Amino acid sequence: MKTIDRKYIGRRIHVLGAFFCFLFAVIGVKAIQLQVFECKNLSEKAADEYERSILSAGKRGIIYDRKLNELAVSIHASSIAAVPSQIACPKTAAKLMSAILDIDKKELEERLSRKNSFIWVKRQISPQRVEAIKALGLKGIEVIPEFSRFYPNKTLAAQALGFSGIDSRGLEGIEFFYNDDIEGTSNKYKIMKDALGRGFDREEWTEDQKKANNLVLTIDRTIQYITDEALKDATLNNQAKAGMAVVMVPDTGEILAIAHYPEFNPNAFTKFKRDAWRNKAITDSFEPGSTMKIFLAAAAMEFGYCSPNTIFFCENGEYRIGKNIVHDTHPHDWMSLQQIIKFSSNIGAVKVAEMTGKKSLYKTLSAFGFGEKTGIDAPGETPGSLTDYRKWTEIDTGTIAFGQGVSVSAIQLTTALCAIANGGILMKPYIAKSVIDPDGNVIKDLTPKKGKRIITQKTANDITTMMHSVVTEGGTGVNAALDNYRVCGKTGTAQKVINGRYSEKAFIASFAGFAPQKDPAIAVLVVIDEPLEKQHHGGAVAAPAFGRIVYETLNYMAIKPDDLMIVSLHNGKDR
Amino acid sequence: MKNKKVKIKSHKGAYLLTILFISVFLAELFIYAWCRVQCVQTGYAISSEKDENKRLLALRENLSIEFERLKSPNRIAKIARQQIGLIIPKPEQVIIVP
Repeated sequence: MKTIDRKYIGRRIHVLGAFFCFLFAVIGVKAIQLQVFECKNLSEKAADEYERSILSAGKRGIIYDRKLNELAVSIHASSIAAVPSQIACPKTAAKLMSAILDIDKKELEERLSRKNSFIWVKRQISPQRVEAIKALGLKGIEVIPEFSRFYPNKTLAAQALGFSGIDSRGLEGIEFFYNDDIEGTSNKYKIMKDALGRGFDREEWTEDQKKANNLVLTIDRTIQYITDEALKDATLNNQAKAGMAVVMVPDTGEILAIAHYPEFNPNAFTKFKRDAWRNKAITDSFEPGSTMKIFLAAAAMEFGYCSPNTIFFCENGEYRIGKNIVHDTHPHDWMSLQQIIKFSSNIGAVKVAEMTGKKSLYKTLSAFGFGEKTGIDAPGETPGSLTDYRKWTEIDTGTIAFGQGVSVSAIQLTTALCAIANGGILMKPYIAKSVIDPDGNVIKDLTPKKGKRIITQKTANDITTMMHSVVTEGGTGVNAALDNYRVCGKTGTAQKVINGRYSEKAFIASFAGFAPQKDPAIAVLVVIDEPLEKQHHGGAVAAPAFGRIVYETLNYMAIKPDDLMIVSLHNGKDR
Repeated sequence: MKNKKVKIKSHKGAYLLTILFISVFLAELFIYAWCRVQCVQTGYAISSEKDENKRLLALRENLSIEFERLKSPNRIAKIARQQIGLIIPKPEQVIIVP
């Protein structure tokens, strides 16, 4: 019996050995099938369980003013996203999160119950809210790091800067125009999750990898502030609808400030009307009124029709052109061209235009850039309106001479003004100076080429002298005069066109000028839209704001006064 | 009898070899598992350090932005006017130092 048992034990061992070998072989074959033939599919399937890739916008570059003060920066901000398939109970999750995120509970529950693989719950929320959401420890709720745009100076130069949207793309202004230069590269943000849903071994961008280029503007933060304040006061004091002001360097075309009122805060742009976002100094045109007379004078003198002392009969306040009658605010008889500019006589301007002729006037106005875009580096520029001189009627020529029947943008008018201030060269205006890399090296110089001469130095000098007379006693712009700087300027008052007719109640008051007369450092234009009817003239409404901007800006720039008051630090007698 | 002893001896050698093999295999298994656990722990540690780094960078960024905000002309002018009582000087009060 024992022998038989031993004999069978040996056989059993062999049978069991063979059986286990067979099982191992089956396991081996299955392992080869899984590891070799189905490896790719299974790996992807597994990766879907513990990995998630999210495309996140990169960090935008900084926008600096000309002195490298930050005007727009990108800051870290977190967004809340959800993977609905991983949420155990959408109702509970919605209840817990709705209070923190300030979202309607039912709406959130509906969103969390969708079959989408990924949804944004709320973008760019405060760190406190992020911590509160994290503390809930909900599975299927992700905190995604993103960047949010922040404007530390709030309303300062807001219309010029514009703003960028939630996906870090520029939507308005400089942010939009130079989007490609300062946009950060998008990041694929991969999150690995463990069984408990904890973030594990995150693959993120590093700060160095994602640093975008920065933009340096020509705008000066302090001058912008001075302009903003002066414009705001002028608009409010005159109970006007709106206002805008531009400060430019005549020799280069650099924009030092572009101010608008009403203002808006780009940090919360959705809370403001769309109308307030627009950079109206560039996108909108208006009839300039008498400020155009300086360009009429330039045409008349440049083509040799008259000199500053040529006299014209101003018809004692009323002049008929066909069926129309042109009026002057005060009646005048004989006046020189210089006096026509000083007292802003419309009839005198019509007489000068008649002498100059349509063609010469049109040529000069075109040369100053009216009727076409300046090419400034900002979106949505208007070319204004200057119809072909062959279509002008007699009354058109007359009204264009004193700035009605022609429309210009604030930037066009300031650019043309700069051409007179700098001795006759039309410069291309610009807001951005350069694109710099994160180390501060210039990688793109945005300074435009030298401008073209449009009038002679002599004509420019003569007009400058005439413009100075405007702010002297008896002139229309006496409110713009300063004690320590010789100012040159011209007032403008234009009736607004409402429902196709010139309004008797709505006006645009403006003042355009530059200072100091000898070597102009700045050219300034102030435009006030619909000031109080009682006191609507450019000389009363816009000239004081102009004077304030010029005075404070020249002081800030440490420009020597014309009547130099230099006192030795040592004797200190005038201190 | 002699053959039986030889057979038992050779079986003993095979058992020892198997035990040794299994021990090595188990040791390798434990070492591998330990390495994986360490790897996971290090992963968590790196993740946490990265978070801390990110928090500090954000703090630095926020401080620099706060600094810019504090330097804004609007705020400085307000303090100058309201707290210190400064005003824009009149032309005769301005002295440009050459």
